Order: sequence, then C-alpha cells, then structure tokens
Amino acid sequence: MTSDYVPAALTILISVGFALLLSAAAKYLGPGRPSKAKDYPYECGSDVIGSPRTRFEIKFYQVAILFLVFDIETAFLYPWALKYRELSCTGALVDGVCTSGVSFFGLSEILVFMSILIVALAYVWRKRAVGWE
Amino acid sequence: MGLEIYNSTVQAAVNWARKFSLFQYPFVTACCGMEFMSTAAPKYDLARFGAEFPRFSPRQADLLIIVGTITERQAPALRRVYDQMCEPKWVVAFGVCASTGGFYQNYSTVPGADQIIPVDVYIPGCPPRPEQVLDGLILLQERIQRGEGHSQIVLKAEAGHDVPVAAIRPRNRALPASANFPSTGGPDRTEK
Repeated sequence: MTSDYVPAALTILISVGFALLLSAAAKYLGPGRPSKAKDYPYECGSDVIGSPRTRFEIKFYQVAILFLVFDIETAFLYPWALKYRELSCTGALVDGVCTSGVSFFGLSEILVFMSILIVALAYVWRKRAVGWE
Repeated sequence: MGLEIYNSTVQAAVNWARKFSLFQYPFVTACCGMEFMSTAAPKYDLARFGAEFPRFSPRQADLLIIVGTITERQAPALRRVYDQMCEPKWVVAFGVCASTGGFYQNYSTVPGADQIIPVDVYIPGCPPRPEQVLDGLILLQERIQRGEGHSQIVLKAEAGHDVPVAAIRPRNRALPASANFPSTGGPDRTEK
C-alpha cells in the first residue's frame, strides 16, 4: 500500500529538488549586480503612473458571481445532455432506441435544477444586478 | 595554474550554455518588426539557435534586440529597459535604423542605438532579410563563446581581470533628467 505512493513521492522530491538546485545555482553562480534600475517597477521603460493596488468597482464582482452561476449551469447541462436519452427511457436502450416506455425523469430533473437558477436570476434581476448603470 | 585551467574550462562551458539559451527581449519600434516576426516564425525558425523565447520583461531576458528606429523620446525607455536586464546581457541592433539611424537624418531620430547603450552586433539592411538576422545571431553566439560581449567584458573588469580599456564603451550620450535614477516620475513614488 505505502509502496504505491513511492513514485509520487519521488516525483515531488525530484521536482522540488530540481527547482531548489536551479534557484541555488542562479543565486551562487549569477554575477548579481543590483541597481536602482533593476529594483524599479517595469512599465516598458516608462515612469510608473500609479500603484497596481487600485480599487475596483463592485460591479465587476457582481459580474464575476453571475458568470459563475451560469457557468456552473452550463457545466451541469453538458453531462445531462449526454445522458438524456437513457434518462428518458424506463427500460434498456438497444442501439440507442428505447425498447419500453418513456420516462420524464431526466426532463423533470433538469427543470427543477433550472428553476432554482431561474429564481436566482429573477432575484438578481429585481435587485438590478444585471444592469450596468 | 591548475585553477586557471579549471576556471577557463568552466567559463567555456558556461558561455556555451549561455549562447544556446538566449532569452530575447524584442524592443520592436518600427517596420523591421515584420522581418523579426518572419525570423522567429517556423520558416526561418530562430528557435533552432536556442534564441527561442521572446520575454516581454527585461528581468527574464538576456538578449535585447532593438528592432527599428529609436527616437529621442524612445531613448530613455530603451536605456531603462537595458538597465533593468540582468548581467550578462547582449544587445543586437536590428536594421540600419537601430544601427545608425538609417535614412532618418533629422532632429527626432537617435543616430544609432549605440548612442544610448552598448551594442554587440549590428545587422544592416532596411529591413534585413531573415538570413542576415540568423547570421547576426550566429556572430553573437561566437562572440558570447569568446566572452567578448560588452557586459561580459564589464563583468570581467569588475572581477579584477585585465581588459583592454577600449573594450568598455562609455555612455557617450547624456539623456534628459527623466531617464536617470531615482526617477522623477510617478505619483506613488512621492512621500505620503
């Protein structure tokens, strides 16, 4: 059992060791000439015009959250669509053809899932989160 | 004596590794960029010579390729990018504009990037053909192997070796105050 993990441990050891080796080689073999220019932020050679830590509007956060909702919806729809034929048949499939009765299990399942998301959409719509004003 | 032989062997190996692992910073300002793209693309394939990676940060690059005309406005930026690269570093002037100013003879064009920073290899042409670029790169690699790149010579001088004084090029052009460090610019650099 423990021997199963030896290759993984070896891989981690070698990769970490190699990274440390390269970092150490760069530190001890490199000429190392620090200067003001090298410490200065790189802006394609221009002067810095502001701090990178600026504040963003909350709208971007809203968009990101909304995207997540619909992104996950799509991610669930794909496997559901692949399995839809089997879910719509009470019996077995023969060459992709249903041999017995029709089942609405798959359809009702996804409708429940979608309706939950539609409630969420209606909520954010009413809260005026989908607009950009 | 034995140490010298050891040192020279290690230096030869290090320079061999350096010449085949050039990370280039393409400082593309003008039309020569098209030829640079052609050189980097599969047909002429700069990657064959180890100069595969264009890095768009000077901190990761050791070969500055100046592709195109350098104007007086651009000069401070070019100097700063060069200063921000780690040693040892090499510079290639790509095309006549970067080498000498080319056909521009006016108030706005710097007559050659070597007015601003030391250049190791000049590639003539308006623009140069990719074959010329590859030739220039091979010349640079030979120079790196011999340890004769400008910044290699500077490093050697700093380590206390004798180098010909003429080999170290002075910075023969004063730039506007904004190009010097500490920089004038940036609201976040002022004391709060």
